[in-house]
Order: sequence, then structure tokens, then C-alpha cells
Amino acid sequence: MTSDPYFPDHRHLLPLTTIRRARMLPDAAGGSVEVVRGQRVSLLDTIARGEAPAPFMLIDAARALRVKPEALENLLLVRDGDEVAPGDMLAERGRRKVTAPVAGRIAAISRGQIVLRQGNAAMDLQAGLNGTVIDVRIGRGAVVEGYGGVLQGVWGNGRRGVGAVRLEPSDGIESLEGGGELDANLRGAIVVSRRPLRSLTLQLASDQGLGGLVVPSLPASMRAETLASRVAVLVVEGFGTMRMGVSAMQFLESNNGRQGSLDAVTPAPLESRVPELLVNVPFDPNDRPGAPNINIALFTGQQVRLLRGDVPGSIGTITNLPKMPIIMDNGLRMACAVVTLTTGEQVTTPLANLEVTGA
Amino acid sequence: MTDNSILAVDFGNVQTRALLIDLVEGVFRVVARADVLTTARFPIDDVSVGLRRVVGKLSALTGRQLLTNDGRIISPETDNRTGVDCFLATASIGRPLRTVLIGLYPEMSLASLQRAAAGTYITVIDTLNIADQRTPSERLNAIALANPDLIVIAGGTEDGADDAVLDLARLTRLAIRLTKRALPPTVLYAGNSALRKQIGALFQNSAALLFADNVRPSVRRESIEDARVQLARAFDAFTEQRGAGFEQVSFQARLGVLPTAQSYDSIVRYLGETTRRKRGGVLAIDLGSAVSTLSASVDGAVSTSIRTDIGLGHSAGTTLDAVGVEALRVWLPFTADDDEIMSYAYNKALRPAVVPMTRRALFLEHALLRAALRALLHAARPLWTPGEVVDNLRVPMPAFERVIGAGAGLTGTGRPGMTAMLMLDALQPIGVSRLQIDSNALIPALGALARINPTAVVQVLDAGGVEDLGTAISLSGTPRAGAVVVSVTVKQENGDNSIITVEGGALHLIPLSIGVRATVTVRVRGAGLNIGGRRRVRLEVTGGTAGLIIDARGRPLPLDAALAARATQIVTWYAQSTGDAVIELPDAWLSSDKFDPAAPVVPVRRDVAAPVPFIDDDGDADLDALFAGDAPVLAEIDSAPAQGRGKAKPTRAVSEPVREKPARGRGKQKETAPAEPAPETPAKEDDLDDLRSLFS
Repeated sequence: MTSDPYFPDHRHLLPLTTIRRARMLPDAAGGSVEVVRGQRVSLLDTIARGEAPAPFMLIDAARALRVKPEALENLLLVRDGDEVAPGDMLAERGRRKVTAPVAGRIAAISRGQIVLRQGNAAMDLQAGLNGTVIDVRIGRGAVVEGYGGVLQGVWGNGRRGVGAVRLEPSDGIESLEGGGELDANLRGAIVVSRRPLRSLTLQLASDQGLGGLVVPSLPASMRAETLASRVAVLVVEGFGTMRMGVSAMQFLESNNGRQGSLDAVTPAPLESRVPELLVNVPFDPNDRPGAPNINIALFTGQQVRLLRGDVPGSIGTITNLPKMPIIMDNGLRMACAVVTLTTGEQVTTPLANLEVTGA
Repeated sequence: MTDNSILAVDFGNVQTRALLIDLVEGVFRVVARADVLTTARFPIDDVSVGLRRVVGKLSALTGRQLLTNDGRIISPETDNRTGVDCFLATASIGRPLRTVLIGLYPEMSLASLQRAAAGTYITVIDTLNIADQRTPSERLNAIALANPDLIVIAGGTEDGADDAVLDLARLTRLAIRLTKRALPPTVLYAGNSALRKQIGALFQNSAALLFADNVRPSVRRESIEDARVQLARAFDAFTEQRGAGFEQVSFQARLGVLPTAQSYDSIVRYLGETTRRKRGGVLAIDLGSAVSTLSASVDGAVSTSIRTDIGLGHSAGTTLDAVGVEALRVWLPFTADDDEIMSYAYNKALRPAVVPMTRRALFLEHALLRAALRALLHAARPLWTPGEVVDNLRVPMPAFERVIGAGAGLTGTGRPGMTAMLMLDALQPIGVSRLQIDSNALIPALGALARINPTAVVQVLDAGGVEDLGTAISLSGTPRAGAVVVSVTVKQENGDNSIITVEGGALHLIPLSIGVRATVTVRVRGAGLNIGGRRRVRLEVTGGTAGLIIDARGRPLPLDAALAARATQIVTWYAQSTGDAVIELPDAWLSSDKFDPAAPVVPVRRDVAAPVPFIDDDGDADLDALFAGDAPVLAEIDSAPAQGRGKAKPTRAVSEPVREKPARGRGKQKETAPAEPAPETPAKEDDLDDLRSLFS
């Protein structure tokens, strides 16, 4: 029965809103938080530092020196936390010596063994947003609140990018192929493409040093290639050959030239982050925008985005919420809404296929 | 305290479902059910919001106040019938626990740990044992780089080995110290109990520590029940730790947050005990969004397998990766290139709650669903026949008296016949099976409830808490398309009789309303055909939402290898299962060219393959007349199996590779199957005793 309140999914498309985002180090990379509550931060500021997981090497120093484990302490030449290079002396007993086989850092000394952490995998976490720190999570990160425009997509390749939002050249990014001269404005920019991602586009974006790519869709076969790319890629509509929805394109055009932050999160179960582009939008400090209402059931007159059918990505307004489920053309029987699109066309669509844009 | 009213909520990755169970005239009944989208992700990131929403819905439905003004569940129930006596929570949400299993020997303690872990959402990242040939550094990295949420250590019989176990425990502690997790992992020790004190001292201040009884107290004995309980505790602790509002849910729930899959294991164990007398097993499959669970009771042995890479929503992409595009393509009535199939699956993973709107999308969705169910089945079947390799899905299934499906993709079609067809297509049960669906997360609720009130579980199950689709009678062998292969006499309690004949290749649904009882006699015609090994079956059935289902398509299901013929098969089965008109597919769908999504798909005629029902006055006489001049029908009801008495075994080599094109034609059928008895009315007193003993 659709007379029950139905709380739909959210995917925001907001010209100007209050943005509150948690920025956390990965679970396996605990570290230290570099900011305090109330501190102003800009999007490139480091708010936490951690260490990515790295392999360890156990060096049985006591055995090498032919002493009991408890006797090693007096023979050590290094301590916990010391950085070492290959060949550096770790412990010594007469002519017997223990040296570091690889570069790394002493992670522990335990029961006659030296544990060497190989390599250096420091990890800096940036704010990704101009705003104020409103909460700090010890060892993990912080929550930052700011204001700006939000365009949320559906998929990202796990990279982040920061730069000015720029529309691609009228003949596409591919026009840069073969030594085409890169518009200086595009270097380091987050470039918006109207077309599905192509392998060549991805390669050029990497070669030309783009800060990121916003594309409507990408072929499923390019998923692995895109994940491997160093350029942050945000997919707005999905896999396949979909073009950019009108509302998303209007948002991007209206923000051409503004500073943006691309968080191209790869979706995963229980991943609370959403791949998104946040844009710095000027606003009147005396008239700060509110936060979107996230606790709202579908109602007649609400703006929604359609997710499937003949017009995916279209924005419309709910004009009717029938009380009984409807048998659709494909035979499924579903609770549905009637949505009037901006073109005036009316579409009956399952409630499950509607998203709230936050507006 | 007596629990007279129970609120049970199951948190899935997409749906949060709630049930209110209450005493009605002295018997426990489900009195209301509701569901909402789970609120674990953006923008809410808090499952307790979904909890309040769904319980609020139940309040609105029942007129009973269940929440305080600040959104907490009122418990216990008050004199004016507000609140509930007991709140239970189960969850299958989120990522599974990354787990490292450590034992002394792979075939001993490690094997026992693997079995104990069935029913908990874990992903085993690595296993360590003293015989695994790895260097100490490699073992250290195996633990440290796995970044585990849970480390389970076992080993040593009681009063057996200790040094080797302690060495592995010390290595584990070192790995924990070296990793910089924000939250330390949980360590569960289920080894030699003489070492508990030393283990406790080792992990003090470095990990959350749980103890369970030794999973291998002696070489010949296994004891995994306590380990399963402790694994459920670890799961509860993990759900609390990861936030998203679970700490609030766990705090309010009587038993914390229990893994949904353990409920499947418990309830299938119980149902298996009650149906064992009828010589049929029980199969329950929950095809979730991110995680899927299959529990089966076969010959009294229960096995539960969880696949964290198979699901119809969040895991749609990994499901495709696991099964391959060909496993989907075989269920499609059109040509589809890899990109189209991959795009559908990957998009489904991005928006798991979305349902297909077009005919083409529906076929893709259901192809993915069938392939996922087949993959679950394929992975689980070796567990049913220890000592015998069964890695070919074309080997006939064991007889399942009851088959239960769950998961929104399966239960949410809104068309019971379509759901039944999907279950039959993918699972291909043989003989007579009662098809049911659990669309309201009753099984998760009852599995949790069984721990505190087994009586309520039995009463709710007896009251038909799980939706009956109907009894499916499946023909084994290779029936000839278009020839009458089955005749069915249906005598209803109200005196209405009918005789129906069904042609080979057809899926026929006979209307029989929920709760209506009937005596059904089925006769098989045609060489090499049988119903669970019999040529003639008489049984008492109760109607369901899909009615009485006669699956005369054969086993293994003879999907045609030629696309055009297969397309006709598939669209006809959809029409037969729903009563909708048979649709005509655009020519372009069958060409190798890229399809035009705008091409119309139009229905052209109704049920061309449907058999003609005969209204009967005197029963079998007319039925026999239909077969006049044919081979004599066996006179004895429930006679010997067609090819040998007793428990039949497949005669085909059980490990032969799957062929792309099924064998067709008369005389090729070789399999026989276990005998299929008529369903009996369950002995309820015994059921209760069984359940009490199971959960005592």
C-alpha cells in the first residue's frame, strides 16, 4: 500500500546548501588528527595524518648474535621508531653484526626479534571542503561544515581531485589528441564531459594533467581501467552510454570556472560517502543556506529524479501517489508514483526508482 | 518474565523489516508487518532512524504505541497495551567481518572453525596453521596486512598441545600491536581450555577477547555450538563498533544484534527435523542485496553457506564477476553483448533498491537472479553429500519437501506465479515441493525468537507465517513439447473437481486459493518421465498464492541452446506463470545487432501453451479415458520409483562438466530420483519438543 509513508533514497543536486562531511582516515591507517574543533580549514588543508599498511620483516637478532632473547636489549643499536637504510647496523656483539636488509622503520623489538616496517607509506587526509571543523574523531579525522553546491554521482574510481570546474572544449577532450595544445585553463581543472567516458579521454586526462573528470557514464568494460587511472573520475548517471541529465548539466554549466573538490568514492556496502563534486559558490554571509531535509517521506509536489525507464536521470514533480500497486508493462506489480517531467510528460514509475535531489 | 508480545526487526542492506508478534486467543501470531528503506548510508548514516520509521509504521497499522516520544522502544508492555515485552534485532547489513582463522592443523581445528563460522557474516581473509610452510615474517604479515576485524584461534585437544598454540597466539598479539587500527580486532579463542589464563594475559589491553569451548576437545569429537554463540557476540560487537546507529539498536535489543544467517540455520534445522519424517529435505535461500545465505537440511544434516560476493543489489557486480556473463545470457530471450549485461549488473550495484521498468531490464534482472541462485546452489551442494563430489548442477537435486525463498528480487515481484517460476527455474526441485517465500523477514525473527521462546516460533510457523506460493509438482526427464505428459485430477474439499492435462514443456498453474485443501492425483505419460521417481502420485495439498503448480518442463530444465527457440520458451513461461498474454519480441532482439531500446514489445496472444482444463463429474474415469490405448498406468499409488526402489542415486557420473546444450529427445533420460511421499500434517507436539531440544 502506497498510502504508507515512503522514505526514498537521496542523491543530492543542490546549487547552494549547507555541506557537512566526515573526513576519516581508512580504518587500517590510524594516525593523528591535525585540527581542532572550531578551526577554519580550506579544502587543501591536511586535517589528519596516518600510515598506510606496509609489510613487516621479522629479524631474529638474538639468534643471529647467539644470545638469549632477553640479552638482546644491551646489544641493540636502534630503538623503536628509528628509520633505517639497507645495510644499517641494528645490533652488534663483537664481530657478529645484524644489519637492515631493506629500508624501513623499527616497528617493535620483541622476544629477541626486531620487527622492521618496510617502506614509508605516510598518508595525508585533506579537508576537501572550505569550512569549519565541527567535530574531531580521535585518531580518525574530523567533520567539516561549509557551504556550496553539490552534485552527487553514482560511481567514482577512488581518487580525489581539486581544481576549477571547466566544461570540455566544444569538440571534446579528444580534440587534444595528437599534440593538440591544452588550454591553460584546463590544466589541473576538473573537466566536465558531456559524453560517455572513452579510453582515449582517460589517457589524455592523465597525460595532460587534468585535476579530475566528470562524465555522465562509462562503458562497463572500462571499469578496471578507470579504477587504475590516477585521474579522479566521477560518473553521474551510471554504466553504459547514458548522456548527462539536463539538470546535472545545468548545474555544471552554471559553475563553470568555480573551484571544486571531487571526491570520487567507489561505492561499497555501508560506505556512507557518496561520490560527489562540491563547488565553492559565493553566497551572502547574512543569508546562509540551510541544510537539505533528509528525513522526509515522498509527497505530492516533491521534486524527484527518475532512475530507470525511458527517461533515466530526468527530474520531475510527483503529481499522484496511487494507493494501490500497479502492474507495469513488464509484468511486475509495484507501488508507484505518477511524475510529471519538466517536459510536461507524465510517467508512472515505481517508488523504488525515485531519488530525492535534496531540493 | 513472560514475553507475550515481540517486536522483531531485521536490518538488511536495502530493507529494514519489522514484525509484531502477539498472543491472539492464547496463540502467538504475526499481527502486523512493515518495511522501510534501510538508513545506514548517506545522508542519514544511522540505522536507528530506519528503526523508528518502521516501528512507527507498525504503530500506525495497529494503533498501538510502540515508541516513546524520544524514539525509544517501549518495553516491557504496559497494562494499557503500549510497547512490547521483547525487542529482537537481526542484521545482514554492511560488510562482513574480515576474519583470520588460526589453528594447528587444517583438517582438525581449522576445519571445525570453518564449520562454526557458517551462519556468521565473515570473510575469511587468511588461515594460518603450523604446517602451512610460511616463514614467521609471512605469517606476521598474513595477520597484520589482512587488517582483520576478527581473529579466531583454535588448536590443541583438551590437555593436548599448548606450546604451538601459544606461539601462534603471541604472533597474533604482535600483529595486532603493529597494526594501527582505530578499533582493535576481536580475538575469539576456541582452543585447548587449559590455556585460557595465558591467552587472557596475552591479549589483555590489545584486543577484545572472547572465549568459547574448545571446538575440537578430542581428535574424534567436535563441539562448535558455543563457538557459534560467541561468533554471534563478535558480530554484535562489530555492528556496535562500526557505528551507523547500531549501538542504539544493540542497546535496546534483548539479545543484541544477531546475524540473520544464524536464524536461517536454526529454522531450517527445526523444519528439517519436522519434515524428516516425510523423507524430504528443506531448502531456504535468502538472495539478499549484498549477502546471500543458503541453508539446507538434507537427510537430517543441516548446512548453511553464506556468500558475501553474491547478491542482487550491492553485490550484483561481484555476482556477475563470480558467475560470468554466459551464466546470465543463457536466461535471456535476446542477444546481449557483454557490455549490456555488465552495465545492468554494475548499475544495479550502484542503486540496489531500483526495480526494472522495461521488459528487457526485467529479463536481465531475472537472468542475474537465476544465475545467482544457481551459483549459491552450486557452492552449497558439496556440503550435502560429504564424501561424494557433486559439482554438476545437472545432477538431480535431492528431494526437498519445502523450498523457501527470500530476498526482494524474488519476493517482491508482486506476482506469485512469476516468483514460483523463478524459483523453479533456478533451483529445479524434483518431485513434490511446497514453495514458500519469506517476504517479511519472518525467518530472521523466528531464529532469534527461538532462543527465548520456542513455543512462539512453532505457533507462528503453524499459523502460516511464511507465504505459501503453492505445491509444485515437477516432472523429471525430457518431456516432448506439445505432447500431453501429465494429467491431474484435483478434488477440492467443497466438492469441485477438475481434470487438467498438461503438455510437455509447459508450466501450468491451477488456481487453488490460499488455505483451500484438495486431493490431487497426478499421472505421468511418456517414456523416461516421472515425478520424483514415480509415475503416479496422489497427495493432499493446500492452496497458495500461486495455486497448484505443475512444472512439466522436465529436469534438468531443457533450455534450448538456439536463441529463437529459447526466447519462445522464456516468454511463454512468463505468460504461463502470470496469466498475462505472451509477448512478441522485436525481431531486432534476436539479431546480433545492437538492440534498439525504443523498439516496442507487445503482447500478442494469451497462453498458447496452456492446457485445457476438463471439469470432471466422476473423477478418475475421465482421466483414464484420456489415456486410453496408452501404456497402462501403474495401479498402485506411491508405487516403486520408476527405476529402482528405495533411495535412488543418480546414475550419471556426478562430476561431469556442464554442457551448454541440454540433452534432448526421448530415451535419453537416465536419472532417477528419491521417492516423493505425499505430504503429511505435521505432528505439532513433536515439533515443539524438537524445537525445545534444538535450542535447549
